[in-house]
Amino acid sequence: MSPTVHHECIRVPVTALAAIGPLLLAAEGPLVRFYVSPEARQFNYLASRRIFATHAIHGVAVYELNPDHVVFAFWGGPFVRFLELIDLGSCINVSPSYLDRVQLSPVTKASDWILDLQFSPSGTAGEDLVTCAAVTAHNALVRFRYRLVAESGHRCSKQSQESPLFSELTSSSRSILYSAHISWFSPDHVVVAAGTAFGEIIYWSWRRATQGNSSSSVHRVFSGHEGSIFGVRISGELRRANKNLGRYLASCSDDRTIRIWDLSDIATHAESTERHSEDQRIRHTGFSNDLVDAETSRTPCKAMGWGHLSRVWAAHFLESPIGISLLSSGEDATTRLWRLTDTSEVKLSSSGSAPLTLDLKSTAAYHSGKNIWSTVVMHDKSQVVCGAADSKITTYTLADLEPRTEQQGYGPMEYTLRDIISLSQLASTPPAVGQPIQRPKNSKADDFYRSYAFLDSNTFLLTTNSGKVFIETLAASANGSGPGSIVGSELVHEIDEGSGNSVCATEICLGVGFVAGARGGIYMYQRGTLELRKIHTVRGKVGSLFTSRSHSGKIILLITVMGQKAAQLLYIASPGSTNSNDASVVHLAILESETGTTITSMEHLSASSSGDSIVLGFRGGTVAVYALPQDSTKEDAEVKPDLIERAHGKEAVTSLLWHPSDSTPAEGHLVSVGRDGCCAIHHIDLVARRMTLHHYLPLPVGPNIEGIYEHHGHLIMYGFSSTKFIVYDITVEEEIMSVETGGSHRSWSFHPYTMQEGGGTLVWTRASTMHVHTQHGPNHRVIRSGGHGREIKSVAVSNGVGDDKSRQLIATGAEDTDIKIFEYMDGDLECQRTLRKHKTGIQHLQWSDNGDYLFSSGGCEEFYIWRVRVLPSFIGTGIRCEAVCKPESEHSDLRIMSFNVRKCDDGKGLRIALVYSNSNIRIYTYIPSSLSEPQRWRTLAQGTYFTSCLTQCVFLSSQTILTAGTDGHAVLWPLHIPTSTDSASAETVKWHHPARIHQSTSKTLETCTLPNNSTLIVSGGDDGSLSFLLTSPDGNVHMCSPITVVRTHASAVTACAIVLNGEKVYVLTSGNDQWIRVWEVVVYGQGDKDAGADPLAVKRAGKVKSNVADVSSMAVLGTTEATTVLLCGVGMEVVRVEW
Amino acid sequence: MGKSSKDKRDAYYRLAKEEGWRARSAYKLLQLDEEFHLFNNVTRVVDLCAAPGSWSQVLSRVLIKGEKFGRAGWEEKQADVRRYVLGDKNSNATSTEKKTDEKAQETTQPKSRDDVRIVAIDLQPMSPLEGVTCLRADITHPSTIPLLLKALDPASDPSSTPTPTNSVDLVISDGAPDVTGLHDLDIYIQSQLLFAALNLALCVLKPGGKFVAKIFRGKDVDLLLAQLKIVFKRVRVAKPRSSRASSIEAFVVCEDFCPPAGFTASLEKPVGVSTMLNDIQSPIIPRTQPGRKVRDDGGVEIELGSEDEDEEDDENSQSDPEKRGIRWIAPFLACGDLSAYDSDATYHLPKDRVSLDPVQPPTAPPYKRALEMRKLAGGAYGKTKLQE
Repeated sequence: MSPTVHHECIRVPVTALAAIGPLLLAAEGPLVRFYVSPEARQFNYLASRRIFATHAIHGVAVYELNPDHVVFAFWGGPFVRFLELIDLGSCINVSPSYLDRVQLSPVTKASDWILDLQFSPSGTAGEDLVTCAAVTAHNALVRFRYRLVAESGHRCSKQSQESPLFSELTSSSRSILYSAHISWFSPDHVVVAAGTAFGEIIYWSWRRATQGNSSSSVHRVFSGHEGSIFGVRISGELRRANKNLGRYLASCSDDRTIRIWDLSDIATHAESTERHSEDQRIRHTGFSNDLVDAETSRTPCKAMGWGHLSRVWAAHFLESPIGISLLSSGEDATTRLWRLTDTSEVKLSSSGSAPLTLDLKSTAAYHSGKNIWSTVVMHDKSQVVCGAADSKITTYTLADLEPRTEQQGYGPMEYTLRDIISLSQLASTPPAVGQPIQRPKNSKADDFYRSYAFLDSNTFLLTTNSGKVFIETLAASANGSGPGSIVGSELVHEIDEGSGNSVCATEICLGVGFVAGARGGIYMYQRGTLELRKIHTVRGKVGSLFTSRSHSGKIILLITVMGQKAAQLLYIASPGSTNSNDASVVHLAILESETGTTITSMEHLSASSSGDSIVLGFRGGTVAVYALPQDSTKEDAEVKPDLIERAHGKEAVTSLLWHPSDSTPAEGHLVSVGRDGCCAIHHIDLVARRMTLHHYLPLPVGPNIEGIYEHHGHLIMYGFSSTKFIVYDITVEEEIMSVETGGSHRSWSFHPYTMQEGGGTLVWTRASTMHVHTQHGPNHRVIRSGGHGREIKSVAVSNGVGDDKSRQLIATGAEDTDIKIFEYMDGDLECQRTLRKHKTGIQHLQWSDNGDYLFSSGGCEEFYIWRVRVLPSFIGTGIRCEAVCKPESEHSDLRIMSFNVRKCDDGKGLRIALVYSNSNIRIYTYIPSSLSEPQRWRTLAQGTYFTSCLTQCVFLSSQTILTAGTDGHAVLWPLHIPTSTDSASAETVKWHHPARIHQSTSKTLETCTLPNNSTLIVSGGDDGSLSFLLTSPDGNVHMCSPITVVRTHASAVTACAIVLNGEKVYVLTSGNDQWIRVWEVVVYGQGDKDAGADPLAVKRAGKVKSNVADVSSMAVLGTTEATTVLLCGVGMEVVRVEW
Repeated sequence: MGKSSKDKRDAYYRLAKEEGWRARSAYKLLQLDEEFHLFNNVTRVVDLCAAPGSWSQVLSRVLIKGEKFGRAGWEEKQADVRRYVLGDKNSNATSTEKKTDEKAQETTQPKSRDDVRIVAIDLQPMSPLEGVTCLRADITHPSTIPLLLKALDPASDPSSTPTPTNSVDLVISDGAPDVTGLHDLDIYIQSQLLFAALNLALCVLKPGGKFVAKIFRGKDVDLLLAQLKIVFKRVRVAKPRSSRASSIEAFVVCEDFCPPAGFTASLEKPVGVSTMLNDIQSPIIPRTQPGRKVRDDGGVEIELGSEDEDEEDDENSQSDPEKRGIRWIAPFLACGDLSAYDSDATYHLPKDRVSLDPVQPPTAPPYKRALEMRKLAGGAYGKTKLQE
């Protein structure tokens, strides 16, 4: 019985999307996934269906017979398949079994590749046939007819067996198209826009005349684009500025522009005199070159839009009450919204210049890597859904399409200090909605905003330079995002300490705020009052205030005084308690030489048994842990800290978050962020006073990260990146907010919302005015999480993580230079972490035997060692780069094509062999326990193969390395490692035993130890062959000549895996031909009766088509009854081999 | 990547500049010739999708000027260069100069072939080359055939030859599409370019003629190879060492053109879109027999033979339109000597080396204007303003 191969999970680019009512369809390879969206913010996965056996779906067209009865047409390459759905109205509250009611037609093949397909608007025309037309890549119009099988309201159990009818309406032309769009002007009239590879758009139509004859004619050829046309779109009939109805054509191209052409004056229905023959539709092809083709007539485009950073794939018209918009998507992984404005009314016929303008209104960049392949709008054109090459599906609300409502009345949402003062004078009568604030033009300020601090989501304290303290109230808003408006402003107090420094801080959960005056006065404010009470005085100028709350309910206030070597820690009874007057003080010593004096963050650690601790973050990047005296009432006790030096390099530690261990309260994890753009996690044992770095990774936004908080099990950070304020979810790696602030600012405050959907309010000073932005919920939602946005080059699967054998981590490295850590759970691949450090595409990855280390290599001689740990709950996987192998060449421009890591025989270190693109090999010993990094590395040996690039490298034993390269030969390198570890000089190694395994490059190489302790080596080559070598147990000699099976794949063999199933050895291979093949390998023992002429025999044992293009690597996930194998390339796929 | 680092990363890029080739792809044709002796007994050649013209340049230098890029001279030169690259101090600038002198000597006594006709066709204009007739035409258009025949035989009267005369020895095509990143579309477009070249070749090749074209070794390439095997006795897929291992590009080398009896080619009814070559009467379905071969170096090569489709697929397989089609895997040959440069390797170059400019500057990309616009707008199209 041959093994059988089945697809278990497919994660490939999302190439098509369609929506009807609440239903969303997303095509991933040959599968379509159904989602139901009862409201714009909610998408529930229903089920998926396979449409084609192997072909990817490229498009979906929808036809609604009635709101309960819908037909979908899927196309991919030349194939078309119909799907019929009834009772659509009931699908909002359904179980996945609802999709049992779908009817799938057989697959029909067209004569050629299909670029676009649209249903005829004619309805069923008395019969139960629906019609659609399609344009092929050779500009032919073809027709499909599908016979309905379901009747609305009746559940039809029989599957449609009748193939859809296919016929050609016009013949193929010779020129090749990159894009086309069909529009049915009437049931007898189909209009086509076709974009060629040569920058032209052919606008033509097909008509059925009354006698049953049909004709086609070219109406216009638009030229002007300077590259292939990748997207064309004919608009519906749009109401133009002159009140007439008309149509536009949008096109997008290799030249990165979007162009708008006017179709209104082109007669398509009249049997015009210009009845073009077939030849004219075909026309000449080729770029029109002004020098050569002087005669080329040009209809200029009406508007042109620049904005995408690379090629533009598609543009769609969106008509809304405020006018015509365009949604474009492109290679730069963004979707952009454009406003098409007819200015002809404004500038009456201004010398014939284009009366239209195309302006970029907003950009959505929620995907990684390259290429948004599909978009659709649903929920009354308000919700955009995007599918991209990263196999992620995202959605966001198009706020710009809605006409401005009552908010417009407020004018700009920025407030000068005068506005605030005048508002406070009108405190009892807030301005009526819609009445703009009168603001004097002269704004020479004698006073200015100093600081902000939130008391709750609607109120915040505001201090000014002169010591005025206001309490501001924001208009309550329930949803959406936009400028916040201040509805109330009250002057609380004017601190009479002269002008200068005044800072404030709040403890939100207690509704208490603190303000420091310019001369050291500390004041407390309590929400609901209009009173500022002086509670304390320090000597000198207050630097900053930090608040927290002790487990006994006391407020902890940390005051730093400029130029002093101790910070004061105040314990203040909470406002509700009886003895409100005592404030005990603890002095925290600041070790100036080690930490500097500027404190930038504070966190309070409550650990009942060992007492409390205070953790401070400093501007110089150091974190200090102060164990507080048990008796917190004792004054003037000076506490000295334990330090975590340079936790964030030399940059400020801006926020700290303590996560105590569930089992041991004296231990926990301290999460910190800093202006180095990184998130660090230290494990701290407060009793043993031990601090260990468990995680340190840069975040994709930054570098000015200012805060971190936990939100419903997610770790959220915020900060400034370029000119924007960003809120980012570290747990799921998604942006939540992005506010254009003009840069990072000195005076600002952010208040995150605590309710489930998140968001927050930001208040900041920019150019002496106060700005407020509020946002409820994230700026986009993820319908399906994704992976790499570029092709994956290498994959490695761990065998547990350290002592935790229940976890299996999958590391993938891609062309986008990222390494991602996935877990395969419940039949799906979920990304856990992204490692951003490599500057070039990843070449190779490997895990250590027990999964506590990950190794990665790339171009520019990058070789990194990552320490990996499982951390509790929301913190997730802890990863830090423990070591970097120093480049040895002058310009460090070599690629480390492959490497292999093996535990040293003494168990103390790792032996690492690296092979380079210049034919060199280097062998190092790495000892993790050594203190300083340079001491951990020792060069053991080095050698040069030849001049050809080495691509494979593997330890056959502790004394032998096998390499293979682009010249198709495998060689063995013996190592003579001296037993003493103090030998300084590196040995020069020489290869021997060359064996020709391929004609050219070995693209993939795997080894496995056989029961007789010999090693089986399997290599897949660029020549499409699979080669087998057997080496002796010590790895020193080949036991036979190489055995090469030729023509195993029609392309290069780029991935392979060896599976031992009982006595049998199986090899799985894949390549660019997108087949996964299974081979059974029989290795004969000496004197084996069945042995043939060769020491091993290979036979075909099974195959299946893969959905992953450009396959680069595969790895075995598990072998129990069946073997699951992960395949990576452009996307990922898990297949199950049943033996 | 700058010029200098590209020199190190790509030996052929550097070599092309040093040896005066319009593009590095010239080496691909030279290395294919080394393996297949493409130019033996060849006088009438058509180069399709020729611009910028590096393949025509090879034709011109080999067939017209009679320059030799034979294996012997090649290897000697390569070995010399390799010694130089490996840092052999004795091989310095003077020896390179000496080589150039020798080469100059070589070219002073060229052995030009008689009656050589080379026609290069492209939609894009191409700078002229000695002995090459450049046509700016669409290779898919029927009107191109008479144009081509007239260019091959300027003396003949075009009106007297209404049907194509099959007189061409070799048709070559190095055409490639704009790659989008949507892999199946890219592979489809490349296959259509190959069919376009094949259709023209079918019209003009003489029996026994050769056809060489770029092919993407991707999904369903075996369907394409089976089509070629129907009309050529020998079909092999070759990858020159100058073509990177990381690229799915390869070249299909088809020899001994043998149009099936009763087959007439026409650009009016091209194959490859809705018609396939196996639709002709009684086509020979290509199959490979199993076999075992011991190479000189002792290595054993095993051929498992063509897969038996009936065995593993159920009876519906041919009725399923997605599974229909004949598949055949052509033998593979890596060509270019092992001592030749490796296009994937990084070479060490002397510090004081001057990086040369390309022989022909790269053609302006379609997005050139977009980059200029962006610069004018001060960065990212001045989009920060638009967000206000």
